[in-house]
Amino acid sequence: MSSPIPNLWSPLIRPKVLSPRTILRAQALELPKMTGGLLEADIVESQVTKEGAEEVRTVLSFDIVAPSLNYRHRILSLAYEKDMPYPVFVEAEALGFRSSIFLRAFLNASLAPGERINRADSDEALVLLLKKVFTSSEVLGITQSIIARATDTIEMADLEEQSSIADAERSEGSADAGPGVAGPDEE
Amino acid sequence: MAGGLVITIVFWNVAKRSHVLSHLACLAQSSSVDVFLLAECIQEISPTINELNGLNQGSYHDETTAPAKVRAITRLSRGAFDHHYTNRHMAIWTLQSSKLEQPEILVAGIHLPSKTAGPNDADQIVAASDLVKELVEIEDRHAHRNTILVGDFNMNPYDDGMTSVAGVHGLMTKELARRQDRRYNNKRYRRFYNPMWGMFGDQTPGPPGSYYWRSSVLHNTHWQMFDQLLFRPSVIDWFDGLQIMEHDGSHTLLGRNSAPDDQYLSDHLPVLFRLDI
Repeated sequence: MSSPIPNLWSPLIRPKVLSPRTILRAQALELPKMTGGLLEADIVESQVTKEGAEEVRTVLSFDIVAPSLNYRHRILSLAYEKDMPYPVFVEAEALGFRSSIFLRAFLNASLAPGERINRADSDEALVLLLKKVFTSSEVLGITQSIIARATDTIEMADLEEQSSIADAERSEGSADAGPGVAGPDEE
Repeated sequence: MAGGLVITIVFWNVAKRSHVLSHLACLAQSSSVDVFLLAECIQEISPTINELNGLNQGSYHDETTAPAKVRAITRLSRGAFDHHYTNRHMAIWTLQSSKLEQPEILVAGIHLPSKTAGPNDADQIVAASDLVKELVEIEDRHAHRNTILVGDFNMNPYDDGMTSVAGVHGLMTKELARRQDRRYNNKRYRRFYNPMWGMFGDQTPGPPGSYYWRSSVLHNTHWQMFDQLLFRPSVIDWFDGLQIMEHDGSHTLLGRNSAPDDQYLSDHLPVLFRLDI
């Protein structure tokens, strides 16, 4: 009896594959939930034409946004061939300076085979790369700092509002106690 | 902010040395500095802020929202000078101005990677190109181009990354910078005016550069102009002076060869500029 023919396909081929945009959008939705709305995230999309060629690459950048501070912090960018999301190249502080070089090399020229640093060929590989970035000490420090500052700003604004309400009430009170109210000397 | 205000800004790569920061108070006193932008700055800066506030020349505070390659200490109030954006190589502050049609200037503090850390010339063009791409994105979001770049570019004004349309596109005269966006390969590239071109050598007041390279290699210009200031055309008219500082008002910042005192202070000299806004 002949042995069964094995499945030679990659186990990563599945009925559902997540695009880089979908994966980033899911992370963007988590941030306001985790921070009680103090932080939001914005995904900025641009199209880059490879120098001297027709090919267009899509670049997605992930910004942390603190609306109360009017502040924005870019933590990563990724790039892929337009309409062909994999392979995708990720650039982030947490992945080192070379990651930006390899992303740019992808945008402007061909990458040498074997240059796999910060390259993801599948959604699972991209999730692993992004996890490295989102859980990095750099990103943790950034989010903690922004949250602390946003909290301070909101608390300060609340205090100012309370004190201006108190001032208004005091001045209303003194207006009420004006000419119509008899003071002790007039009794 | 009232009209006709002169704002003094100092950029300095302080080489991760805490005692360099003690010179900020002298600079603040002698040059009435409103904003310090510091690259390679140590984490703990509260003693420096206390020293600055001890001068009784305003209330200095750290205006840096999250870890950034360039950090700001300022006596301008929140609302007048605010940390607005950060990425890997730059931090941007908004500076309010009464003179401009759009009452805001974007002040971008830059620190690009050094060649000694691994990147080569091509890598530096890549870094400059990425930087400008993000800057253009921010200018478009703010619907103006009132932008000033200042920082340690780790390149000279004549290096490809600083002059190329694909890089910073910094030009040596105001006239060149005021021309229309340059068109190349059907794309438009915005221009910067780079006044640091005029600061090289010994025919102008001040040191011949902002950094001195001690090396026995065959090609060595010795003095480098790694610390640079660039203006978009719309803000050139508010530029009110530029100095590479060799003295903080009380102490020299120079060491051997009359070069930056890299033994005890920083290997970079501070760059001071004024804006009449």
